[in-house]
Amino acid sequence: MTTRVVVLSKPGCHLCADACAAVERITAELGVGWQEQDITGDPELMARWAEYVPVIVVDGEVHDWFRVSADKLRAALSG
Amino acid sequence: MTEESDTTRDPGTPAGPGSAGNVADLVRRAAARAPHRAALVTPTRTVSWSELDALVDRVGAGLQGKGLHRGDRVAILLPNSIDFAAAYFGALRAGLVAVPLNTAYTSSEIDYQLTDADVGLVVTDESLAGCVADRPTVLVDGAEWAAIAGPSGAAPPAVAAAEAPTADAPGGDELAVLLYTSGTTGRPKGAMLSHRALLANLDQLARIEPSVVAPDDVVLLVLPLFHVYGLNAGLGMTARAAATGVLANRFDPVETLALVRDQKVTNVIGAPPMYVAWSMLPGLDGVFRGLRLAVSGAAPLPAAVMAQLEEATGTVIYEGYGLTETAPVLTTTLCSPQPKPGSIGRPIPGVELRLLDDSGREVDEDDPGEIVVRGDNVFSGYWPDGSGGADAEGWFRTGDVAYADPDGDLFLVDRVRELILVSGFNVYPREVEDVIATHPAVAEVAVVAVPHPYTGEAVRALVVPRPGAQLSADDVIAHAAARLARFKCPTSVEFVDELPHSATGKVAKGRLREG
Repeated sequence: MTTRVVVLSKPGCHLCADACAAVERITAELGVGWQEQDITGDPELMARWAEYVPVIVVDGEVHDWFRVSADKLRAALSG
Repeated sequence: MTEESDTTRDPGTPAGPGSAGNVADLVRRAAARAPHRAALVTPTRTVSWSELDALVDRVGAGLQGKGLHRGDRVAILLPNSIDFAAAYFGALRAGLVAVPLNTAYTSSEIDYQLTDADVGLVVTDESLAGCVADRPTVLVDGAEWAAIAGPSGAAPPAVAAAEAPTADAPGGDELAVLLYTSGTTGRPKGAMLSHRALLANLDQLARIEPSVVAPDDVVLLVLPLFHVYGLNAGLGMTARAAATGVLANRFDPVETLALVRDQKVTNVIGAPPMYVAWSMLPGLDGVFRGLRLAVSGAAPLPAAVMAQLEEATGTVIYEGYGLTETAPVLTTTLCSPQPKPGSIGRPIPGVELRLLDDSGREVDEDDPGEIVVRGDNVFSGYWPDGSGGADAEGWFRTGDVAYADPDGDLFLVDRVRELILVSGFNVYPREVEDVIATHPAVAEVAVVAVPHPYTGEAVRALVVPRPGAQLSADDVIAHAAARLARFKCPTSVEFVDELPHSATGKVAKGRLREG
């Protein structure tokens, strides 16, 4: 299963937990792989995305942040 | 813009400003955390946080030098500008009370507020000074202000709030801002906001996840700073986070969009007319892609506009709801798991909210009730005696009616008061009716709201002319325009033979709206 979705997250971020749960559900539906990436160890990612987490990355491009729109994510993965 | 490493990532943690302090401490703290970061940006001038902090010191001392003492009122009649921010924070640091005035008001409206608030000094500019004739003024484009605010200006104010507030430093429950909001009787009333209430709302907003304003953000400050939303949620939140504010003093859809793009704005603190206007423009996607967060408040954002913007740009507009009396934010869709179109979301952390029926009991799910709130952000009542504020248990009745859906998301349905919201500004029908009724050819008048695609609502006057009198719609509009701010004037006039009346002889507004 190819990993097409990455969720950039930080520990203790409840929106990140919500986003991961939603991504888990939608990717399972579509048979797509995903992973979570804690950005706190990466100064470059922290500098750019710390205030945007959770950031949903699809196929290497930023797709959305804060909240997962199921329809929008399904559309991006089906396209 | 200078980038700073900012170790205090979350300005909302306990290390953040305490609610007992002075609102101007926000500037002092921002200067300590990010001295070289741009604080406020205008087309002609940019100040860093350390420069703004020093400016606030000088203006505070300069205002004291004008013979003003702790608790005295200083009016600010200025467009959005660095001078506005300096006058505002300077007055507060000096222990004075700021009275921001709507620049669209007529001289007689302004005069009423200056007299009611017993204002000792008006900070204004040459173009607006004509509205405050015969009052002591300082013009920000004059020599006196240059001497006060210039680099060689006065030493810090005598009672400046210190780094660690002492018992005697101005702040806490002392009055900070008097903001006039029209009452149901038509005459504007001064809502008394303490330092505590203003800071409490900022602390509450800072507890929202994701951050409403973060240190690296660039915030568009185009909403008027004389309005509580632009003043506290906009300018106050920007200072609290030591972010950067981009000031604009009028909204032009194309120019403001270019400003968002050129200044790399990340946060738009907006109102429905802005989003409505933007939703009609092409090429939004590219500009909106740079935004981290867009919020809308002051009036309901039409669900269709929200959907259209999301479709065109992929950006969600988060809607909020609040009042001048609550400094201002009470609810936002940022606090909902999914923002729903047409919803005002859920209460922000630190705000308790109940929906009550006429007998004061909580309504059942899905039933509408009056929004009643409690929190440290609630005002201290109306000037001067503190009447009309929260009850003994701290609950304040907003006069607005909402229902909660099964998920707990709130939807506004009506205003108990009959105010008309024009571009987010309150228009009280009674005040407009009183003015139109003074026209010699008018027998009776009723003013109602009509939907307007751009301003949300517009004012319509239903006029019964005196028998035999010659009266045109233009006559009525001109009569109102000479006496009222433009946003309060009717945009349409309908002549009728009679108005429906209730049993007590009052015009039955409900029946007019149905008709």
